[in-house]
Amino acid sequence: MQVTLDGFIEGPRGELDWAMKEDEETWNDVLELQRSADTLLLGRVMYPAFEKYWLAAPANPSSTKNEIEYARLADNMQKLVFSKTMEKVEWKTTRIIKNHIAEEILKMKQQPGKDMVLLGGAGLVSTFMNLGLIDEYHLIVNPLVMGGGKPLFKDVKERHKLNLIKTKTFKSGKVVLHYSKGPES
Amino acid sequence: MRKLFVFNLVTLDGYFEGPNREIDWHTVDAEFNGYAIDMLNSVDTLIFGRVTYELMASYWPTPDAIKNDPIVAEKMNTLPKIVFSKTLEKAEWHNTRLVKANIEEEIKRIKKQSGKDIALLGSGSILSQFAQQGLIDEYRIMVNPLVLGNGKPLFRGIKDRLNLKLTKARTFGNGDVLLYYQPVEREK
Repeated sequence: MQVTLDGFIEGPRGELDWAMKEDEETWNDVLELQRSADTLLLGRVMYPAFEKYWLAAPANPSSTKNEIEYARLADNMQKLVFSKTMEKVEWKTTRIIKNHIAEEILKMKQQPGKDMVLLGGAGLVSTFMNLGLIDEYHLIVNPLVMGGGKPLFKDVKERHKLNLIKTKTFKSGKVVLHYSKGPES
Repeated sequence: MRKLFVFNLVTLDGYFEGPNREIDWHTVDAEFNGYAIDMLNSVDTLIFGRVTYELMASYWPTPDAIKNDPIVAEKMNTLPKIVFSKTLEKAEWHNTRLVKANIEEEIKRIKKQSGKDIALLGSGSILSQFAQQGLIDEYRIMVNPLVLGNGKPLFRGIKDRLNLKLTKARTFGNGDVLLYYQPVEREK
């Protein structure tokens, strides 16, 4: 996920312009992560816009080459949306998970296959952290202080120690911080 | 002109301390101390807000500090220091000057003098105030490998977007990542 230096994933009015600037190194990183996985996990707030945008992207004349590739990969992946109230989705490869998140995820982790990527939003990240379900964190820290907005780790209940696995810096000034779950969390 | 930089440790969720002022997550090992000594050698003035000043003034002159970190303690105790506070009555830590008003003018005046760099070791309100007045030339933010879940945000007083340019990143063996930024041009 992309965050600002002060830990926000969106500005106070939902601003995402800072994260969306075209940047080949960021795209390569995002696509590489996408290729390492076969499942995408999304929260209910984020899902509808995600589905609308990426389902339409292949036929959208303003889509970039990278966007079309992202859409193609996303289309072929299993998507899980977590919601108690959502009744149906358009995307054929999406499944709605209403309850028993931990059981469902632990079951899926046992199955063979590639990794699963949680794309957001913040509520789902906190839920998953509080349930101890996240094995790795792949954050792209952007070179700005937003001064307000939606925090990534907004409802995390306790301290989570992490192990730094890798860092990468991009010409755009973005820094990838890649962590695994620490020993005590 | 010499530069004023700010150095701070922060958690991955952006806190410089926990809700009860916890900083037990700081990892002070040999590599960190090496960095701290290099940093202190590159400056001739340390600047604090009241809260950080009180914390540091109550620690570095003690026999424990001098025994545990002799080089850093010697530097901290002897370097010229400025504490900005409206409420503090006096500053007794060796070589400390208390400044009660006209912070911005004071900083601009000091920056024009010749000498080594100036380090702002502080958080909270003084950091935000300096940032918004365009007084900070470099941000050195050390991101620690943990999510605290709650605490005091380092940049909490900053209300407007502050665009930065990454100039360097250094990874420490303990998982800390030190990010160096400069503010992107703004009115001075």
